[in-house]
Amino acid sequence: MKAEDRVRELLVLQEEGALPPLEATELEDLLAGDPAAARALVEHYILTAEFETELAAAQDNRVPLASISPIRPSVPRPVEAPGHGREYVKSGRRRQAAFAAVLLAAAGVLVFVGKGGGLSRRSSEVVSGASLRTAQQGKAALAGSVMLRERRGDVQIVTPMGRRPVEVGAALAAGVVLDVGGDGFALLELEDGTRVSLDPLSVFSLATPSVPSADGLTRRTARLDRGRLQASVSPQRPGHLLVFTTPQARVTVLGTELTVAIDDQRTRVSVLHGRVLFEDLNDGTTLTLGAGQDAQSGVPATARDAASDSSGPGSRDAAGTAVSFWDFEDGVLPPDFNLGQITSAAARPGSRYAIIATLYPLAGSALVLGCQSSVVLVRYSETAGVSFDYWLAREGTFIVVQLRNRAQEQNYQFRIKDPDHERWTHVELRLSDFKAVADRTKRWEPGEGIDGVHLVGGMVGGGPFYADNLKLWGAQ
Amino acid sequence: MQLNSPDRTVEPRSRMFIRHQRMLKSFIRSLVPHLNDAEDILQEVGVLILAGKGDEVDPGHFSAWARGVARNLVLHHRRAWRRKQALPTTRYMDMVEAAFSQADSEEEIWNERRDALAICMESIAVHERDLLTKRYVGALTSDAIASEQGRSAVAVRVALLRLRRSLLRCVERRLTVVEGHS
Repeated sequence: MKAEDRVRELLVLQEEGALPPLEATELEDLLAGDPAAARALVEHYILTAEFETELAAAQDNRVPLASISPIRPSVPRPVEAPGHGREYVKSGRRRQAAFAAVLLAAAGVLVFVGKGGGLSRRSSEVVSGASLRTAQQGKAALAGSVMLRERRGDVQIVTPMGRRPVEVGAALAAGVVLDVGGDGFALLELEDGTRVSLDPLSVFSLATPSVPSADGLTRRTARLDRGRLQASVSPQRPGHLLVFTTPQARVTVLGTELTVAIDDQRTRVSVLHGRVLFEDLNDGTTLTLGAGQDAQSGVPATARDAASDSSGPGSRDAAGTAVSFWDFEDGVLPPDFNLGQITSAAARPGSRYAIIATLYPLAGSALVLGCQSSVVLVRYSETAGVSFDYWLAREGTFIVVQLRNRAQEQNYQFRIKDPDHERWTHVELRLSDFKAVADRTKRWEPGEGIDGVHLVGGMVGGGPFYADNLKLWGAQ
Repeated sequence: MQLNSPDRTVEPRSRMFIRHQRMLKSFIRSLVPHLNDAEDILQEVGVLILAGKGDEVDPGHFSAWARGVARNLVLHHRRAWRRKQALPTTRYMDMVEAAFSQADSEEEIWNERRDALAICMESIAVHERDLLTKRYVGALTSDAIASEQGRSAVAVRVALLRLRRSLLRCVERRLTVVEGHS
């Protein structure tokens, strides 16, 4: 048998996670020894990916709306609108999907976005035949539009011609504003299977899909101006994005599960699982939020449970110098630290805790720790500096200290080329020795704020990189 | 390396992401047995790229860079996944990376093969489509399909293998015909 044929046999087992250890080794040996076998692997997984994409799309197009499998809800369960007693559940195909959840909460506005056609009914609440037919007809006829799947109480569409009630099964043209009254509730379905439920006192509209913009992406925008919504977003086609906007924020999803909430002043996002792109429209801040992270428009992005921690690192000494200092001795990751974990593994006399660098996908094979604050930590002056203690395993060949210049919106770096290994070492650096990374013609200017500090070192798969007693000082 | 640096390269990178998205998904699938985990990784890569974070990327090296990001994310999630699925060894990951790296130089060929595959899939029999749908959309294992259909798991895997071979032959035929006409 040819090597590539054997590889194909083994891959059928491997992609099910059913490849025994001996055969796994055989597969590796075959791939190592024969380019045709390696090509067969690429071909196999291209087929797999195409099967999953094409067949899923075909299936979604022919599944009747009422045949979505009623399945018990999984966590996170979205908040229910009071009174309508509905249970939101995931379809069979997507039940296994990993969850991503973002909670936004303030002034009664909530958006919930889910992977797959996740909003369904209990089996005892099957859509009536009449409304199902209407729904199916509506779905088939109205690409690019949104359909009202359910309503209770006062639900009206608002157009330049005035207001009028809207009935279940009606197709709503893109751009039409839907106004849900104080006793109302509406469940909408987009043509891609995405479903959005609107709670009382909500005002919602959906734009037509944009033409591809300069970045080649087609964006569709759903806007919530008032109220609260929950949504379950189907995986978007390649090159397509669904964007939820509020007066203060924009959340971009590629097909995931999340919740979002906003009010007149602020938008708060909490990610339970997965990642989303969150943009604060007040200051242009863009954040990628992962599981367990919060973001709120106009205030620092912080880790969950740390948002209410008001004890920041900043202080001023008697001479008027601003100092940010972290010794990690409370055993808790400081709120603005987006990379690294607190550990007691490196305890030593006088210090119970340190911070250990962790994997960061965009840092290549190096490990990273550090913080990114939404406020200025210190300001540059001729005497400004940074110091820290570190312990670096022998695999690490360098340490890069990176500071973010907020005014210039770029990073400055200093590279320690020959670091000590496997012993605690103290370092003090002057900020004037740091070099700009993006625009190398730039130099620090007095008074420019620093809002981030990161240390990069060590190696993925190697020993640890610890740091402690991280201190930044400069002008106030 | 830059962290939280200004977003200077998001547009070209997003275009590159679109161009390489399907191949990248195939790469991720080869490392992650569960479709939904693979989709999450793909999505995370996409979000990172859209966020414009990380180094500027040479377009010629984008696909290798994106695979590196994906691989790191797989490693990142490894501990959580270990409970539910067998995970590839470092050696296997290296082999996969080498295989897809080689494929980078044949991007057009793979695109043509993918297009031909889409046409070939339209001609498969209903029961074959149902089998593929159960396995790749329903995410049923061969064992689960076998017990549902009252046959052995080996028979299901053989059927899947034959169907794959049949589709690959169809792809070869179509490409041969196209080349013959050109």
